[in-house]
Amino acid sequence: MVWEMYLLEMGFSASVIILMVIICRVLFMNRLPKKVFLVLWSVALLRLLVPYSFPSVLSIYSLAGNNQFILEKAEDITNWREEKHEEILVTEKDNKHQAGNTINKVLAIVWLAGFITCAAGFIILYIICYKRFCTSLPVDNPYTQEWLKSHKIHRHISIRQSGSVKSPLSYGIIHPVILMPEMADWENVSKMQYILEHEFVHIRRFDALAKLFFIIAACVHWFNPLVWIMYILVNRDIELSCDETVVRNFGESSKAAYALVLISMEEEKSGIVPLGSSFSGNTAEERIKAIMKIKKSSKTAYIMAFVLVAAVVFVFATSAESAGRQQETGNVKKLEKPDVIEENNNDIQEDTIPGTYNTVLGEIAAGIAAKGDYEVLGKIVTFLNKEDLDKIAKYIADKGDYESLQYIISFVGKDTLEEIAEQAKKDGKSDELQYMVPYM
Amino acid sequence: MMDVKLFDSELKVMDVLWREGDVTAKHISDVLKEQVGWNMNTTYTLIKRCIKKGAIERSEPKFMCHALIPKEEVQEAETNELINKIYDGSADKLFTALLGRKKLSAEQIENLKKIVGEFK
Repeated sequence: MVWEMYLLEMGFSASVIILMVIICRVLFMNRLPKKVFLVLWSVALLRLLVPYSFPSVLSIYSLAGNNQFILEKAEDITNWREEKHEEILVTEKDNKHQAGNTINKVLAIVWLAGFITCAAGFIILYIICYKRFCTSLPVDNPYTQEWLKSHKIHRHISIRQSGSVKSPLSYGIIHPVILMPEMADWENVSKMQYILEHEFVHIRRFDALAKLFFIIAACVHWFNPLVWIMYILVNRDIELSCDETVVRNFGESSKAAYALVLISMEEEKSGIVPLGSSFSGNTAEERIKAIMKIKKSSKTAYIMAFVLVAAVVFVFATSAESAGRQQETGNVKKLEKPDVIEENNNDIQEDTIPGTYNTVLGEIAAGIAAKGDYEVLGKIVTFLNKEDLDKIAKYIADKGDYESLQYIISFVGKDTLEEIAEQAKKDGKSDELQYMVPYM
Repeated sequence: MMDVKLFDSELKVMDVLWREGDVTAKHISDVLKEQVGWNMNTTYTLIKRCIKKGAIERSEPKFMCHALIPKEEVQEAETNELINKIYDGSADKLFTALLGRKKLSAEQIENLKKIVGEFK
């Protein structure tokens, strides 16, 4: 159940980041170096693939946690749960346990099915491309030899040609290959240099590897439409940034020449190459416009870019720094360090639970538990992060309220259950824990 | 008579047979691995395609390959196609184009003159 939690959380905060990047893209596309957007997309990607994020007071989730609005939303969630799962309200604890687990199993299977379908789709595309490319022939003429010599990187680059491609493209992470169409005119040096340079930039920046990671993220979060939107936009931005780099390398005055080359290749569209980067296609019109708008980035642009990235990272990519518990009146008690809360154990007010929680929902659940509203707690328990849940369970046990644990017992971790059982033995309340036995 | 068109990649396979005569598929695969970097699967797939097109005949043991189409036939077919498609069906135009190319070496011009002489 825990991984579902992580998945939803990562997906949610990543979706927020993606929305922010989309907004930034619309506002600043032609005013900032395109690399900035790639950095922003990487932030979203990290959020999608890495379950850990560092807490920050600046995080929007810290600010949100202290918001009455969120508490109201939580009540909406509990009402929704009530509608959907009336079966769970049956008093039999066994049924409660089974129903909760079944839903989780179903969700897990649904996710797995979606993931496998997406992954299979990409793998099939890859195989189709592989079959088309494997019969390519090497290109060896003085021009290519010279070009390869002057464009040395650690990996060995091959230049090949094939009748199956209509537009130049590059692929391969460990052994990059530039694949040219059969009719490539090696005499046309000015045209060729732009084409090769473009592919070279893709190779040098490991774009194929980056695309692979984005594909993985899209497969894992297949149910999130924003992630697919991100996938489409990332591919476009990789091309745009590549164009920008090529123009920079050749000098700004080469803009027109480069754009003309792109236009002349426009007629020939290549097929779908998920891990490769092609020269034309890929909304060539957008690219040509962007190329003509390239200008030297001013210092202010760079500063703006830096501030933008920092803001997005610190506000949206961090998790909630746990503030103190919110009181009924909605007053905010903001504590800077979690340790301070532990020290205040003795002066706990009735409606707070000690300890810091990993998620906003955890804090809300703690508040609900503190109020003794265990039925409601039982309804949102499947959404809770494992650590938060264990903390709450321990707290309830500490209060001596073993009976109330039954509402959340099926989701509590085994170690915590054993700890609670020990504690109960000491308190001489083992009888009350009989319902716990099947879960230990 | 060649009814089907051979792709560049398939021509490369045929080339080995034209140069070396009948050889095993394994040998073709080794040669091409050396020449163009194809792995064994790729070469075998191409050989099978050629067999399907009637360009290669397979005999056992050892998957021996024999070229059913001579090189000259392919050359003629390709040239005719070139003339028809690009030079408006006129061999003269192709000839003129070849002569007009500044990159012809003296040796090539000599050879062309010889060929013209043979046709007289």
